[in-house]
Amino acid sequence: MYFNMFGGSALLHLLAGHPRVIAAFGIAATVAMLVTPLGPGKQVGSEGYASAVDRTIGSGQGLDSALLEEARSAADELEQMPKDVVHEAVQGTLSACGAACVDLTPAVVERNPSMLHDALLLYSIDVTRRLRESGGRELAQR
Amino acid sequence: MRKLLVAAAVALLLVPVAAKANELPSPPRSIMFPGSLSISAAGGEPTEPGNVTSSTTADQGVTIARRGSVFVVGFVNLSLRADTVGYDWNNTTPYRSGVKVVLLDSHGVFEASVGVMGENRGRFAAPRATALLSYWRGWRGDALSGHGNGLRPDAFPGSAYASSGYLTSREARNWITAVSIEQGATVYSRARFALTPFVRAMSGMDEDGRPWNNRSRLDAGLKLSRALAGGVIEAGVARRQSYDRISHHFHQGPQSTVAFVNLWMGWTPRVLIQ
Repeated sequence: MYFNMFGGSALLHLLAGHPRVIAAFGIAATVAMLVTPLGPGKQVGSEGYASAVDRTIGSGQGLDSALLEEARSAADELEQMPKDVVHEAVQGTLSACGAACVDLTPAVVERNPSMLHDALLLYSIDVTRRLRESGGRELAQR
Repeated sequence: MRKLLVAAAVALLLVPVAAKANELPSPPRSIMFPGSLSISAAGGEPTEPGNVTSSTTADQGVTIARRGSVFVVGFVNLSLRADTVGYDWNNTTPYRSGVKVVLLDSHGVFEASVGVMGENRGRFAAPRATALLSYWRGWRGDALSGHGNGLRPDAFPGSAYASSGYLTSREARNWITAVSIEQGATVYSRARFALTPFVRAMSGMDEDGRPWNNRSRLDAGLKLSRALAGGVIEAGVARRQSYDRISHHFHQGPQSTVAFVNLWMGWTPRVLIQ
């Protein structure tokens, strides 16, 4: 019998605590790394594994600390933007999180300041990462 | 989408696009050791008046293989069961060991396992073959309206569970199926505590037509739960109606208020493979 009811909110918080990992692998791949046979979400052992993955990322890889600061600033600015923009960013994060965040909806995230901050930070880092990977082509195509 | 991306790009000041993606490391591979501990105690069961039963189950596994959200896990599962009256069937130490395939997706957790099972009743009996299918899904059902005021619910947590297979070595060739579904409405939640009225329906059936495997139950009760690091503990009371489908007998009345305490903790430490 399972009682793993923690769902997406704890997982979002765990992911937001490891921005370098998100910058290196993206939200979807990081969530896939953290899934275990006990189900998605945060469990005893998840934090240790995320930290271990974090340590494998060299300083020159992924996003450096200055860019991470920019992503944090961008998340703060994003939070002040019109509701529909915020909503779409939250939806983007939850979509990338996939089945592990299936218990969350954008409305649930948006009404919780801490969860909202985590979701926007993850979104900002993920966008930055994809922009770097595509050399800016993704933005130009849209 | 375009508006959002433009906004994000402005906010990020169009960060330098160094395109270092090819230099990124591969995520480290790991061996997982998923395990869990569940403890439950209950009293007031209408079919065993005056008895209090308890069960402690430890499960430890190791991932043998993984492909996406499909895991192959070797496992050992050991339980300690006891009661206050001393019924033989409640005082035993069953175990199961084998290999299971676990499939996770947005619809829940599916498991298929094969292996051996047995029990210790003073001495270990010879192990018997076991095969078991199970399914679990839980949901939190957060209300969109935010935290409730007064008794207005702010979440509708529930779960569904089903298992089917050779479950016990005492009935080693009896295929037993059990299903349950629970739905609650959290009327109070603070500091990881939640107070939740709930209803739960359970039903079982088997091939051999044993009365104790062919009962249906309906619980309506109230429970207080608290999230722990990697788990949850809950305690509550419920009015239970139990129906024996073999004898067509209802068990209900003044003895049918059950009290229960359940604890579940899960863990998945890993060893990284460099």
